[in-house]
Amino acid sequence: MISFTLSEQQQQIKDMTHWFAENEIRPIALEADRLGYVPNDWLDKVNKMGIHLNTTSLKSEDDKSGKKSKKEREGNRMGVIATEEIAWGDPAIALSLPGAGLGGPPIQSSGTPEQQERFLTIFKDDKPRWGAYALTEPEAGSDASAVEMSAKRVDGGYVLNGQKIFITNGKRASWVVVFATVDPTLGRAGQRAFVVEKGTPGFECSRLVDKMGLRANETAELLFTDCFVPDENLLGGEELYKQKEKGASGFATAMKTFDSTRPIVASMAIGIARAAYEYTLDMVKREYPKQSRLIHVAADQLAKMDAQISAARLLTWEAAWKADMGIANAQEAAMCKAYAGESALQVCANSLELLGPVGIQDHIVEKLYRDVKVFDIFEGTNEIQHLVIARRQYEPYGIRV
Amino acid sequence: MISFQPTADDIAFVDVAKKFATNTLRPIMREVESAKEVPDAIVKELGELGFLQMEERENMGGLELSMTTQVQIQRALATGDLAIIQGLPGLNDSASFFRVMEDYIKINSIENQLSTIAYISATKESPLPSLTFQQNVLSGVSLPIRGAKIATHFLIAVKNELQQTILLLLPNNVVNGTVVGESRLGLYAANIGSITFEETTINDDHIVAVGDKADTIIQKAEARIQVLQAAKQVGLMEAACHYATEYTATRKAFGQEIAKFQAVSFRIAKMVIEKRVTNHFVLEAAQALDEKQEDALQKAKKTIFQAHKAVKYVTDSAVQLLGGHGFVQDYPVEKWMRDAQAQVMLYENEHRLRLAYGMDLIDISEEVVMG
Ligand SMILES: Cc1cc2nc3c(=O)[nH]c(=O)nc-3n(C[C@H](O)[C@H](O)[C@H](O)COP(=O)(O)OP(=O)(O)OC[C@H]3O[C@@H](n4cnc5c(N)ncnc54)[C@H](O)[C@@H]3O)c2cc1C
Repeated sequence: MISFTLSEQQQQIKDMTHWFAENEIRPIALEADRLGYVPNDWLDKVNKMGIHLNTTSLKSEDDKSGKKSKKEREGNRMGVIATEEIAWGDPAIALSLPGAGLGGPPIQSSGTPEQQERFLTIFKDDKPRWGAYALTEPEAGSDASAVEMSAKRVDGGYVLNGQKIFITNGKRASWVVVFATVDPTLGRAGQRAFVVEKGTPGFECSRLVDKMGLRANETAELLFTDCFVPDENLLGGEELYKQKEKGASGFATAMKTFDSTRPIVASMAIGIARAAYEYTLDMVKREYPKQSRLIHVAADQLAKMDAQISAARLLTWEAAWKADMGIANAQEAAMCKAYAGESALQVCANSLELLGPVGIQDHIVEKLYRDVKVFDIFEGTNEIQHLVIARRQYEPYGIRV
Repeated sequence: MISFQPTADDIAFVDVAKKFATNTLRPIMREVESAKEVPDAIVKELGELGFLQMEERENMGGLELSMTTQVQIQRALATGDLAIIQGLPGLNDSASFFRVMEDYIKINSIENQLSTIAYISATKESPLPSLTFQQNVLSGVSLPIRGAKIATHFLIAVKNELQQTILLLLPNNVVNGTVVGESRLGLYAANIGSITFEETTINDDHIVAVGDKADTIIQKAEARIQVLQAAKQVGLMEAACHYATEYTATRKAFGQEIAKFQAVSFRIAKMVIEKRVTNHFVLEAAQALDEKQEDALQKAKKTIFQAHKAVKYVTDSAVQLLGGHGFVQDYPVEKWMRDAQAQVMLYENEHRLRLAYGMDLIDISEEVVMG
């Protein structure tokens, strides 16, 4: 049955995460931006509270045992609902929360049960831990098939050489899912995904980059020099890559990940837009003279912003719902990411305009504006999302865009 | 006769400005952003080139250049770094007031060369309370303005209790405080801050103009400011268009230069159109102001709202076209996007400007609309 009403449990999650965002995250947002990091004691505290950034839909005990649960899966919907609230508090802090982060989905979708156990269960409350996802290289961003990092087969494992850039939480991560090629001439088919653990000889963080926004969140450059990774850290094991007929490759693993992470990224953009919008709406209600034409300008702008946020959220819910239902959702994941990323920037820019010059300094909205731009870039740029969508539209006509 | 050909003098001026922007300003752009102030050496050099006093009248020691020439030079300078241009000392926006007040002599009492006069506009509808002026007493906190930190004087447009416009010129020693927030958005070097007045008593010496006379001065001066600022925004767009074109021509993805993807090349084309259109508006409005054409003020308004829309689109697009590289500080485009956003926030709301322009088109005065 079609319904846009949150279930009781979904509402609870929303309320709980909102409470956390409002009372724990927002109060330190500007300070963390100024510092350029999220304070460790704060991370320790939230880790003890069991708060993690989870981009993998939770598997129920039934799922794990292979039995079919009667209960409808709703991990993806829960994920987007909660993420919107957390990002509303602050997106840089949201991305810095302990947890598997973007590294979770590939392990969950392609890892062996042993690997899932080994890597996904380390996120306990004694000490904050992170996972990371390293696909991008200096010469390979949108074009993930151009990955140049090499993986050379040796006795008992592989030796990795190359560089990864722009890796979220890449320095602090306990492990990083790294994509490399065993043979560049094989293109996509030659790609493998490895889990490289912190402290592995030959693996280092060469630099953290300064950014326009998300300044409190770590973006790392990683260097791999003759870095030996044992067989047991090849994601999915050799078996996975023998299933050539199923198109298994590191590339396929990387792409599959996007279907679950893009709605999460979209929901973050929505959270940011909503934070800017709500702040501005409140200010307009309080401060704008009601008899002035400025209020007309503001009303027009606010209406547009409100509609953009609702539209982005519905697209995101649809993508998450399809994922929960096990229905292919690549197009919907691309649609929500493309729409949310682009319109969230417009919402933030319009908010700044309504705030006027006072918005320039010491202000959460200017920070959100700086943060939000990258949501139209990472996890696939706006242009790449449009390609994904257009491809599916033209497929029935035999045209590959 | 219609012509887009600059004069030989303009070409020579622009050439010098462009070289200075490219060779001197651009390389220190990040350094200045960290220091949050423009180095003295840069100020000195620009002064020697005559670029600090282009708008001032000759009898004030300025060059008294035409708007048409000035906009071309400002555009060229801003291709180097908008934040540096906005952080220079001098009369800046206030220069346009002294330019249009042909009979104003008090300025001679100011040591013009050393003065930085920041302009505070408190006569417009504003969502947030700004300055009040009652019974010759000035109170309140101004909206953030450029030059607040380094101003030796403030030129203030404010309404009195009779809703008359008053234009004041105050030395900074009557100010009760300068609130300088931490700018993390853009134009770090522009010395942005708010000025506090706690019941500052104004005497006749401080008053520059009152009533209709003040309104006329403000209208004329603000039109000049709008066009000069729009010209700087064109400079910023020029930098962004150029950088993004060069980057996309060499960056490869999917086995080819990304410029070969129409999503990329069409966006570049649109950026260039927006920039060109704004430049035409700037030149057209500049000429209208130079020739004191009847619709010069309208043209200026149209120019600034187009420039606001365009500079946001162009700088955002430059970031987008660099992908993840656009978001990091290793490349200039993220700074340009931040600077552009700060710039449009300082120089009036685009939608409000458009509405005001539209109201004029249908002959509805502000008062009628406000009931
Ligand atoms: C803060 C931040 C965090 C990040 N975190 C991670 C992370 O954790 N892990 C990770 O692996 N990566 C991460 N990234 C990298 C990010 O995913 C890439 O930057 C992004 O995918 C774009 O790649 P690129 O930067 O190489 O841009 P490019 O691929 O060089 O793109 C440049 C421009 O060309 C366009 N373009 C490219 N191909 C086409 C085409 N076929 N058609 C039309 N247009 C095209 C793009 O849309 C873009 O506008 C992060 C980036 C940032 C900035």
